[in-house]
Amino acid sequence: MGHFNVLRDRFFFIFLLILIFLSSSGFLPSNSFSAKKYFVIAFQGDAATLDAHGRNETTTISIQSHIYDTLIFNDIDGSYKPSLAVSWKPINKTEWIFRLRKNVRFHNGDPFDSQVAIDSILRAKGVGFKKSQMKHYTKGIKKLSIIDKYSFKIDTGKPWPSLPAEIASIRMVPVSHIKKVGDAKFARFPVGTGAYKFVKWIKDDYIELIANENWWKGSPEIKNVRIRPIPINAARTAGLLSGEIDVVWGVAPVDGAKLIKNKNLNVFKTITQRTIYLTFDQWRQKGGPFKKGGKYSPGIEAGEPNPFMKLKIRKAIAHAINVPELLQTIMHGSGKPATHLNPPFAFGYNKTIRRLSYSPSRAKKLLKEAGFPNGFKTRLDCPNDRYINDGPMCLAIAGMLTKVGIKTIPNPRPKAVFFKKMSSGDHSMYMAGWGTDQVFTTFSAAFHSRIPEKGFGRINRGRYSNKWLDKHMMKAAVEMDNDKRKKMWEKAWKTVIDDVAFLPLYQQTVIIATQKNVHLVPRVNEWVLAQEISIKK
Amino acid sequence: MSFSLPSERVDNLYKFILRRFIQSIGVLLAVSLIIFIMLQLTGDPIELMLGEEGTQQDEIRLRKALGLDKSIPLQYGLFLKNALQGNLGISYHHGVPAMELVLERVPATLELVGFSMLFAILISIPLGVYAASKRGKFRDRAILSCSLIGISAPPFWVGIVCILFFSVALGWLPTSGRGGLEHLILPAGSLALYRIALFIRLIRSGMLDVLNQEYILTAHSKGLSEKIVFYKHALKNTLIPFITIGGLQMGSLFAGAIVTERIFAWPGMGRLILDSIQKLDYPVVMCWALITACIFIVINLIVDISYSFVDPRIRAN
Repeated sequence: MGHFNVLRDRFFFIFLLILIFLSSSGFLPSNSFSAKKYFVIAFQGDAATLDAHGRNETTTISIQSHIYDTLIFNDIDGSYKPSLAVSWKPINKTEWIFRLRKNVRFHNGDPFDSQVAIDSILRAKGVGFKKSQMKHYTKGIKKLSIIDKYSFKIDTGKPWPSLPAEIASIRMVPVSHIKKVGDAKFARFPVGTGAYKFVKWIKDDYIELIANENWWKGSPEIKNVRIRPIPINAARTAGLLSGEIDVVWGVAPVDGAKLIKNKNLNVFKTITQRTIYLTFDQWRQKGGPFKKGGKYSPGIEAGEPNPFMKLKIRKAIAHAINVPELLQTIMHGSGKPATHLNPPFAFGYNKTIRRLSYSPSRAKKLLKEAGFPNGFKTRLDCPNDRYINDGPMCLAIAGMLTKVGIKTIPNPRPKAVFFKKMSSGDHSMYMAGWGTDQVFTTFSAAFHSRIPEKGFGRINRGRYSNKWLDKHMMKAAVEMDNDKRKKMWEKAWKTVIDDVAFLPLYQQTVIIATQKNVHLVPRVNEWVLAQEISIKK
Repeated sequence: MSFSLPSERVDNLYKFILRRFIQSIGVLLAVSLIIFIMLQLTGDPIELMLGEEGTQQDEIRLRKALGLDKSIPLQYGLFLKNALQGNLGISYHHGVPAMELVLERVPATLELVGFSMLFAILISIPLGVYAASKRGKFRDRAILSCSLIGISAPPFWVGIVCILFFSVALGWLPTSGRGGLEHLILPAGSLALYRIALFIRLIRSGMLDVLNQEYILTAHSKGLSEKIVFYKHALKNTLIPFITIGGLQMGSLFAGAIVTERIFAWPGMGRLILDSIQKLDYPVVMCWALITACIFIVINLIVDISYSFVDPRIRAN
């Protein structure tokens, strides 16, 4: 076997050499991977579509907002600023005048004027574009009419104070261009008035954009952008560490805590408008097995009275949960305890309201007073793949409740299953999230008595019902005086929080990490916009 | 040993392919039914699409627009009717035909799977043969132990460790995405790892089996050199059953690519299917399942046909 072995060994040795040679010299050093000609922003997912009215989802809209403008701009702190509309004013209870910016053109040269603005709003409403997912933002708009080339009027039929917030969500599109190329092509090759022009889109790989030198706000500082979807948190963050990615959206809290110590990176955090809360079955009197349309609360033992109907029990639950500790341990310090279902910057937020303190002894006392000296058994339903660390949160909360005598079995499940079950009524106490800063939308969906046919109480699955509140919120919705309206909403919040209709736990924090020379201010609506980013030399 | 005329052989080949074609239709029907039932059991795509902040009217409208308000048997019937006309539905999430979505990602996955297979073959054959030649010695045992790690290590973990080591720590390779050859090394490599480990063991034991055969002894006594005995006779005969294994492993590579594509943000079919399952995008899941089934069927057909050409013992039949 003599000769043979030497040959085999030699072959092997050469093979190994080739491998090492290829891996150490043939490849470009990390700084000149092709990605580095571009400024790279990495999100978790890809845009669902690049049609401005095609999909109402955070990542999609964040990406689209590079290409399109709206009439009213949602600024970084959540306030509304002029964009393609330089002013908007109600001239009476039901009519608003919008004045538009002059000399704005789309990326293909088409001019922007009142007709285009009105046509864009109509398209969002579903006129000529059945697939529009922006229809609910146009609910308040009854009639649109041109005044002149750069101003038009919106008639809302009845008083509609939330019109500006809704208009801020409708992106302006070149309607005549869309008629020429068709909706399908437009969704792949978008044209807008925004900061960046579309170059190309390789689905699931990257979207390439180039600065619009003629943007009305001024040419963006960053010229060439690539937006990449990278689904695994660890891989996305790794791309930051290796230098391939400049901005990473959505760093996991555990990674965020470590990245802060890294001197080559910046870590930006902001609380978002997404609030995680608990909700309770407040309409079924007794426990029992689940049947669709049935009258038993499935998370309570058969025959036992439903404790969640009592205010003292709901208050006990509030006292039993130590939210700061949950945020410290499970979220590694991310997140902020919440009192409302809206974030603090939302209109109508009542700054005087405080959370019920963490006090297990008080919780036990309330349980006793409510007639449950030995606590009771129940179940906590939650998703495990929808919100940040929702699975571990569920387990931790169940543990805290068990400590005061509410023996809770956590039931975390994938969101596909969880939401279906919750909608069918298979719950007594569950955890979910709510992500908007619009107060009427919140009250109408969460606190109004549940009337599905009229669209009320869609997430009020516990069927909290307060007739006075139902009337009050409808009055607040049409109150055009800002101060009066604010006080009405503050009163509404006090009512639902005192009643513990829902139990808000915390607002999620979004963590955005960047290279050291990249500077941005994190947005409360979780978008990342290249036109708001600056590079320090 | 019977001998068949060339024209007879071609005839048999046609009959074989035809039979396979008919069987395949049955397979595709079964796949579509099973996937359909499984999707019905998993949840509600409308709830997921609208999110908590959607309205009741939106839900009703969307349900109707997507045909999800009809009864389940009717939905399946409509799906079949459309499928037979070549329309596999429009993606709920993307709003474009599901077929278009899947087909535009096939090249990326084929690239990944193809290179994976190439890596696996190039690395495992020399190592397997080497281990067989050094049987019982330290080098053989070393190779076997390493292959044990390759078989046991979970692909998800392997992928992330590769990224941390080769991309972040050493900076040799990019962390994710598709591009030139440098983007292919880590994903194809980590996907191939399991296959490499498996093939090394199979080739090694295959070689050892073959080396015990009588014809090897005959070759030796004929005075042929070690090299010729090893490669021309032993290796060639070892690799014949390998065609079948390789074919099956191609299918398994497609499945494994799903996890690898997600880790490395590779824009292929696997990425699409994982997203679509999470979002309950029924048309895309169905389309993907049917196209993947077709790929499996074609690969198996090619393997079966080439096997009959390569193995003289089968050719005779």
